[in-house]
Amino acid sequence: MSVDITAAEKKSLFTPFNIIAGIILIAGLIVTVMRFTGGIGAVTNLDQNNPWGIWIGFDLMCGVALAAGGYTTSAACYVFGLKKFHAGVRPAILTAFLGYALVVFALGYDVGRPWRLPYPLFVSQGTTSLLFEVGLCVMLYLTVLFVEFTPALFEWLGMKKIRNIVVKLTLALTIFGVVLSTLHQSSLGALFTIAPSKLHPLWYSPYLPVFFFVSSIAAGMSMVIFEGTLSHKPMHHLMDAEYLDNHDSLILGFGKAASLVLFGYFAIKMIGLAYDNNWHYLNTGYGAWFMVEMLGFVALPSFLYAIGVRDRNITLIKWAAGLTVLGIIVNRFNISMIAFNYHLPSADRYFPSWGEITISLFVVTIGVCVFRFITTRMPIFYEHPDYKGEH
Amino acid sequence: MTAILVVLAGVLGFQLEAMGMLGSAADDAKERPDVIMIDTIARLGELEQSAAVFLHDTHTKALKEQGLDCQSCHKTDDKGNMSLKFKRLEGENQPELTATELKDIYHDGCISCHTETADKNLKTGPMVGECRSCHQEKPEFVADRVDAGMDNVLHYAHWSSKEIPMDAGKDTNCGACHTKQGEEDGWRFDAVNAGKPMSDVYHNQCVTCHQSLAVKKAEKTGPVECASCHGANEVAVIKAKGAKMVREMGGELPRLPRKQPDAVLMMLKRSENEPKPEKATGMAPVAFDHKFHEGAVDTCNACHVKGVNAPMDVSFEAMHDENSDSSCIGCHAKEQQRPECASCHFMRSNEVKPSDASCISCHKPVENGDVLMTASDEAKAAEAALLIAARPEKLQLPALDAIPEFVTIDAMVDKYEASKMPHRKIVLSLADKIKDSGLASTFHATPEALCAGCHHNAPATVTPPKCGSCHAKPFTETDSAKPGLKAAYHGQCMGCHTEMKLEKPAATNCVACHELKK
Amino acid sequence: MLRRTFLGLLGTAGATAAISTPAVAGGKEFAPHPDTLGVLFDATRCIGCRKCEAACNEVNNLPAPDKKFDDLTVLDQKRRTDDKTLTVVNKYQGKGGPVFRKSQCNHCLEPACASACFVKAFKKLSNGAVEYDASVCVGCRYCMVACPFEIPAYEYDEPLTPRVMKCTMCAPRLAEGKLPGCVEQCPKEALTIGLRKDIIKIARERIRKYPERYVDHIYGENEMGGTSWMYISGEPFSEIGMREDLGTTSAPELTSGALAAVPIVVGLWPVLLGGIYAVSKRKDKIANDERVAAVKDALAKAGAEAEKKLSEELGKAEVANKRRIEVEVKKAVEEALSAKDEEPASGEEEA
Repeated sequence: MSVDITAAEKKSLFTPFNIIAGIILIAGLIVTVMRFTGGIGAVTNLDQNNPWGIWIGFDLMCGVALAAGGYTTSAACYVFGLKKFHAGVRPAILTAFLGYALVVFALGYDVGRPWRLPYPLFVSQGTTSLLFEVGLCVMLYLTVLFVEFTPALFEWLGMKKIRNIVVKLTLALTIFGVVLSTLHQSSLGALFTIAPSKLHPLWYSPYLPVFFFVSSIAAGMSMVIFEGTLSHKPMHHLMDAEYLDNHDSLILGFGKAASLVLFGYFAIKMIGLAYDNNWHYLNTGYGAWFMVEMLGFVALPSFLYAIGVRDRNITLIKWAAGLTVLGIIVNRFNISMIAFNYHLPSADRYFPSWGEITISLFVVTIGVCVFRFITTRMPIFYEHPDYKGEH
Repeated sequence: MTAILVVLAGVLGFQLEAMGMLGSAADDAKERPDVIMIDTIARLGELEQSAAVFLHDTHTKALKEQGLDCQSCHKTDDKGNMSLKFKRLEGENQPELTATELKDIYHDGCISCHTETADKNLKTGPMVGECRSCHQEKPEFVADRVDAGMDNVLHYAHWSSKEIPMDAGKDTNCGACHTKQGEEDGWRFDAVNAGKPMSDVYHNQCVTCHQSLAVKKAEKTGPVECASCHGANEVAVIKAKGAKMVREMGGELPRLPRKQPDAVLMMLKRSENEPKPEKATGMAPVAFDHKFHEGAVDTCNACHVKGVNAPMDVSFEAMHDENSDSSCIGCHAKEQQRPECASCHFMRSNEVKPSDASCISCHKPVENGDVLMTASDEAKAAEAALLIAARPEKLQLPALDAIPEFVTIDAMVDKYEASKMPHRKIVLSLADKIKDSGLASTFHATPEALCAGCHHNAPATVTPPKCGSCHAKPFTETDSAKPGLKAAYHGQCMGCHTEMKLEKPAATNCVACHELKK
Repeated sequence: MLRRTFLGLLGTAGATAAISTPAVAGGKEFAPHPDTLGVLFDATRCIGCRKCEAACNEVNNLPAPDKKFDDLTVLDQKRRTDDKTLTVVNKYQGKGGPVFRKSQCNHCLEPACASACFVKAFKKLSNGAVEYDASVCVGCRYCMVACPFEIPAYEYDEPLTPRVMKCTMCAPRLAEGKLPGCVEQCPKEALTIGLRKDIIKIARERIRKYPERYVDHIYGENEMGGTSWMYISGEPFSEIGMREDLGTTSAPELTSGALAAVPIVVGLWPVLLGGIYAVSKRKDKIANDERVAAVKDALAKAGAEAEKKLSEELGKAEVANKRRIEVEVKKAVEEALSAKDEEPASGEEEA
């Protein structure tokens, strides 16, 4: 099923996608050299007041939030026992694995001495730090995701015995994955609790960890729908009957769940506002932007999801998913860059440089290319004929 | 769907606005002197509405434009005195009004006039149904008043005014305001005025007189608007006009013709009947130059805090409290804050108790103290005058050659060369600046006193100890509050220059005092 | 309510470890080391001569700046610390003329940078200095995010060995019994060094002796849990560029709630998820059992019906058969009788 089609596809290397991806990859390599010969300052707009930019705000925080599809899908299938999600597990796990791997890759650019990234785990453990928490859990979860991905790899390589052993670990890995995901998703939010004086009161809350965790659930589910939509056309020929049959019911299922989760998220955000009595901030510029984020990117998709599920309108749910993904990006950008350092004069505020944007695009492009490579060769969107029905 | 969202947003906005959570007017409240918060019935029970905001000057101006006057709101009693209450008389012979009656007086009185004005197509105030326009929860105006005060200059404007008639058979017009002679302050503390807020007493006295003069179209009269007496800008204008008037008179305000003493001998009184003590008791008497001090203060109440008729508080505290504005020491301490004095005196904290020498400057021992204790006021005044005349007129300095001309400071030569300080020039310059000050001449009792300004925390002498003998290494365990030698020099010199507001040399211009070492 | 929850042992133990003193084990509050030094900056004494900046530059072997230290026009712009400048003096407008303030690491009692660092690159020494160890620093710059005073700076222009740069309180010099560079050079002794508890007393004394000269507050006594570098001033602190809205909660306390939740999640989540798994598995099993039972039931029913039908048919067939036999017999008998009737004379065939 797989081999013939890929051979037929290798007509021309210069497809539009390949050209654009190629340009980005080359640009990325150039900036990489600049980064490691000239220092971070040579390629970024980071300064002493703004130590974190889009490499953290987008590559790390959005990357981790949007890769949450891995734990939500595998939990839905294996812990909650909802079999209709089964076909969606492998693509979600692959997306998540690539997502996290690229997060670590992108950190290699942002951090001053990337070869020291293992230090917090193996040399000097700063256990008072929430970043330690994030690092430890991301490292462990990357391992978990990798192990969860290996059955597809082993099936492709024909290593039956070891594949069967790994598959038996699925439930334990899934539970471990949910634990780790809870911890690092929330810790990413908790990072900012250390600087209440720098984050605008509408976004700062001691409940930031809870907000980040809950929104990551909605983010993951929406990303599965979104990425499934994006890959549907180009990868259609790879998708087996189980995947295609369950595609719509997976979307409906996640749509229902996402609607509820977004509603709950909206509610706790409003409760947070009331708890800190921050209503008067709504009457400011930042307040208006906060309402845009809350109403346009949280309340609205929740509403659209609900209608889509009720009317079984798959297209509407897909749009809602896209809106939610955008909303998560807006939220993470707000907390890491827009509402952060709100008290500084506008001359001191941060805006990404071309170098930073290039590397972020570079990282995403690598992800898409590797995803394409793996899904066109390994049993991700279909079941390997030797192992049909053995999940 | 869009419709629902719009409605949701609208409901949310409405709710927030209603809860008053959007914006707070109180932060932008404008400050005016004429704001009166009407909460008359607060003393009779709990208020249902917040106090009503009332702008008095706005109303007087508006009424004037319509050709109306105070009578529109203020009733006069049968004695012809205008009541300062709104459309009612209050006092002993008047009935007590209930809360409802008071409310009705205000509502009917205010709203009816506003309605009439509206009918005349003029700018008007809130009318029926516009409750919250008056009863503002977050008032858009708040009261900001300065005390009008009655300093000597303003008082002179009154007692020299031709508008105020002289008293019968006298050449002064004190009786126009101070009804009881010998109890001039009595009109403030009079039993008639007991229980009334002081603002009412003053307004009744001052504003009504100004108003009646204005009605009579007098040449000069005082203000009747709130802002003219209580507005910060207006008060400044009045003070400036007063200062100009004093300058035009040669810089000296004429003395109040009330037969004040020129000199007073402050000492314990003993009546003739008391047995003579074995030796004189109490502190040595103080010869007080009353005439000089009259010209040095803004108002008699500066010292006569309880009024010019009441006996003065002669306790130790009242005379010597360095933090009080009305004690001798406190007022002198204020004088020491002038640049020419502060150069030395700023460094001395108020806590440092003055030396015995400064006590003697005032409390000069006399030989016939026991006699003086029973002497008549005239005799004591004469003695005081003698003592005052005996005080040094000019500042005393050591002999010129006892003041080193140059002092080379080389104890800490490191990155800079030694500093050659023009010592004599500085001393003479300091002395020159205070040569006209009686306070300085009297209290710098000895020639060496001026030296102690810089050569401090040691007895005053023309051969003071080296600075380095007390100021050595900084941050030592024993007395970490005493600066090291470098900071002692810099702090002393720079501090003096800053207090004297000298622009040269700038504190950051190191080479002005010591050259860089090559 | 994460905010009001217990301080996690993890957070407290970690924070304790960050302080190299035998602190009260497991306690929620602890006092600074008794030998902690403090430095008092007196804004009424500073004249903005920048000698402290020059001293710091010299003592730390920092590169020479573009404008020399005696160029005071630099004070017309507000500056902050950067990777080549560990301390700056800024000029502000006071009631009666310019006022100056020196800005540098405040060496907090519970430093936000030390709490934030995930490789323990910051250490609060017993002499009060917050020391940075470049040999483990990964360069994540979370310390820069965490510091409420916006002090740490980063060497963004170093490609391979970038360091975080901040005032060291001249800890090496202190160890030799020398004074920090800035403290030593200040001509006005605007900086006073001593034991922190003594410095607080000195500050209080100064304010008490000259009440009209100072604002009655020692900045840093309690802000962010207390700092070693404290300030007294004649102008309100917000007028000299210092934030008065930081509160007195230390940074470690701000994150201890989130850290405390970690072991709870690790302990409870597997139980919760395992429970959900068990419940869903049970639901599946029951559904399966019911299905099997239903199939069995249906089969049994079908079998019984078939049996019934069979016996009915058989019965019917039997009856039909019997009748046919009867009919045939009857026919045969009738035929036989009719044949006998046709030959009546013979009757001798009985034998």
